[in-house]
Amino acid sequence: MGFHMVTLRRSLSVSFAIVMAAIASFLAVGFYYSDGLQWLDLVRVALLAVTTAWLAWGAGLALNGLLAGRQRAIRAPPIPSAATTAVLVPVYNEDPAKTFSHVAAMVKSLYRTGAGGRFHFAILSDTNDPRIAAQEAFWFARLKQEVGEKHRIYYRRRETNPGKKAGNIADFIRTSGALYDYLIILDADSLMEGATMVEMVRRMDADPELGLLQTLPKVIRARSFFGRAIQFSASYYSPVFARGLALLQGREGPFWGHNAITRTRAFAQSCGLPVLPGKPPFGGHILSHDYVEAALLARNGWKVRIDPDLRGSFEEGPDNVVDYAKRDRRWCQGNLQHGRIIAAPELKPWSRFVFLQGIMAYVAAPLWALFLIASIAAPAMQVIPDYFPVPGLPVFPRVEQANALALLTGVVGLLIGPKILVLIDGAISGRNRRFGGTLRCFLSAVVEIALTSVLAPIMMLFQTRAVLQVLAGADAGWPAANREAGRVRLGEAWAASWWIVAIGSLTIGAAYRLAPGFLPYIMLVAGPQLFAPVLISATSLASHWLYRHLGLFATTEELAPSRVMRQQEDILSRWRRNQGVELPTEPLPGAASAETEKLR
Amino acid sequence: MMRVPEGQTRSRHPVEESGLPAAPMAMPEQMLVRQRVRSLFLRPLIEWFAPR
Repeated sequence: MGFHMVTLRRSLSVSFAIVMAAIASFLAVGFYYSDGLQWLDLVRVALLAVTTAWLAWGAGLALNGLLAGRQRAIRAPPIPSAATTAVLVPVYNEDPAKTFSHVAAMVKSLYRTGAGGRFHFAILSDTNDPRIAAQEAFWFARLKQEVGEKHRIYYRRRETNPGKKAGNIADFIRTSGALYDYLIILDADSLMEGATMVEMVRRMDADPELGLLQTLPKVIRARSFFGRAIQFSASYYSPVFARGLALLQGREGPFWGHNAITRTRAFAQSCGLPVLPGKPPFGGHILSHDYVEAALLARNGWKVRIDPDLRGSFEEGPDNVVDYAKRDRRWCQGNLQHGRIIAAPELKPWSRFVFLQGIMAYVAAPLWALFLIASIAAPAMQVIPDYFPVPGLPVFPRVEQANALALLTGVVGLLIGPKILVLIDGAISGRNRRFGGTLRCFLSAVVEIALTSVLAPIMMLFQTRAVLQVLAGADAGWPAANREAGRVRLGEAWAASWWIVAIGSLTIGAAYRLAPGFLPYIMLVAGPQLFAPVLISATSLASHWLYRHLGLFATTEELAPSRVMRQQEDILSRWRRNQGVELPTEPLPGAASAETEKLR
Repeated sequence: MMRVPEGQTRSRHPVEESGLPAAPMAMPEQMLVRQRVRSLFLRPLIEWFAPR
């Protein structure tokens, strides 16, 4: 796509966000003016403008994706590549049997393509729990036995883990990087079809300026109601948003840290990350390194691209709200830390804008919270209207309820409008068939919208707290990802969210005393907060029967699992059945109880 | 900000390694935080006032 087209799309998308913010401000001013405009109203308008612009930007991405239609699949010439690729699997106190079964399935999948010999796997362990390290040694031997000795699979464990995941990858490049043309960077829960990896190498071969190619990984294997809703959302809506993003990005696309391929030379030359001066959370190692690496590649003139048409790329996601909030806390710190980097010399303007977007993704929550506080406080600070500004003729204040309604409809429209458009587009294009038909998609979309609406006020408080913690200087550290966490019991949910119940109660009390007319609107937000522990616990329950009987949240990956997924499941169940030796059975670090402890 | 010259690899202490091939590649640290440039404005003045 031409440079001018990208600029035009970017300008139109930013203009759309600004126009939406202006309309929201205009409607809000009209509404607040009805009972006399005061300084707090201006604060409310400013907060509303910023948050609406943010929502409109998200909706703009979806509109770009929808209006662009289907992108034709990018086909590279089918010439077998002579390039050697290292597939890097960084692990950190993960369940080794599961991670290594992913590796085994990917190795087998690659060998089915006939190109397996050009791919070497390297398991890069930063595990510091000796018990898990011992398990890694055991399962590595089992992995070698599974795939045969002729396949190149390496295992390396660092004594200490400076630089965390980015440092782990850098350590590999500094040790062995010169041997490889490309690096496929994965996560411990990543799974990729061999054919996808071969196609990624072909695309890198076809464009010598391409520094990094990101795939759009689909979330798989969610078990709970919450996890399945996220899985559906990632499978059904995300490709449209990603298509929109791909059209706006130009040469400065995203890197999400895994399920991507990079040119070793480009990455080594551009992505040596410094330790930022000062202490965490703003100083120290760069936490959200992937955004920074994408910006640095672009700064050095390399293309960074996302190809949403690449299938066969999978990851797993958090299965409950507590786990999701824990991951969000880490991402929040990482994104806010980008405030230190946003002014780095010679970055592309779009890269700076991407950092700003990442910061806004978390700052939006406290802004909404401030908007609500201002809305409750405003009526209490209201001046008594003067019905006789001119002696003799009374002037009554105008009540602009229509403005308020239009405003509410607009904000809700920006939130759910894109989802409805994706549904309609899917019905017209036939895409819905891959998700079990339009009726099932409609049901799933309605339930997903209801669920996200109910959970949004809870997430808002988790994110607000995360932002405040980071601003107060609290470091989230580097907890192991907990992808196997199951159900959150009510007691655990209470421990993690009692403070949300307290804030919800206080909000309702304050609204009742200060702004009783505003109470019904406040209840939409504070109501779900009162039931936070119940919602967190209930949404963590397995929802297999809803899927089996109603097809709720059915995804393409579930209806037609790819071969690598099936093979990985077979390998893991076989390994676990014939384990052969007694391994420690206590839960791995980072199990649900530890999660709730972290969130207290 | 600490900078490692190109070509220089840091000392590593892997506790376990199964045949990882040795083929080092330099990964120079990048400049991300602007150096403080307070002296930029002061230096010409200091030079001007300096005894000649």
